[in-house]
Amino acid sequence: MAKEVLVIFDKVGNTLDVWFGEPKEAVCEETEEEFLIKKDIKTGEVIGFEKFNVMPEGEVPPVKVLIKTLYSKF
Amino acid sequence: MNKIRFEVRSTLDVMIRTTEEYWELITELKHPIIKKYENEVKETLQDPDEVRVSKKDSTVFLYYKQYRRLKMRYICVLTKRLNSEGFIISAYLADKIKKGNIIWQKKS
Repeated sequence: MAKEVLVIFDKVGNTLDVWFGEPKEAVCEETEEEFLIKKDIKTGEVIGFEKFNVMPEGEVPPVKVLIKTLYSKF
Repeated sequence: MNKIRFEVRSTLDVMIRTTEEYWELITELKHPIIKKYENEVKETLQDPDEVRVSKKDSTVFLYYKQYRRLKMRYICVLTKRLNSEGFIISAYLADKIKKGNIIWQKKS
């Protein structure tokens, strides 16, 4: 079954959230790079991430989102 | 006009607010777990353990409070300051904290 990837760019907060599947309850692991790894609170599985300060300070996007699904054979 | 969900004065003496619409964005799409921790979010802003400032954006502040009842995890509230006011841009539950430079710490 296809798994949805949900991408949310918050222009006001300047954050980018990506979920591998539907958003659900998560505990986050912070990294040094303004980046959060979201883990399923029950299983610990990585289910998404959040990036802060996506655009440089003071810069107003337009943002282009390019999504590619690659099907390569080994 | 967006209705204010709540407004609290932070430990840094900044009035921080969130609107109904933005709270819904946080609790439906960014961090659904935060829906049940609204009171903890307010408390973290008013009485944090520490406050950090983003290394990349000097107007972004991170308020942290550790909760025994949440298995010693932290509630983190990200805020952006505009002039003398601030608004919440995200809030989440974290097991460890690493971000930013500490600018304020609770006296033990």
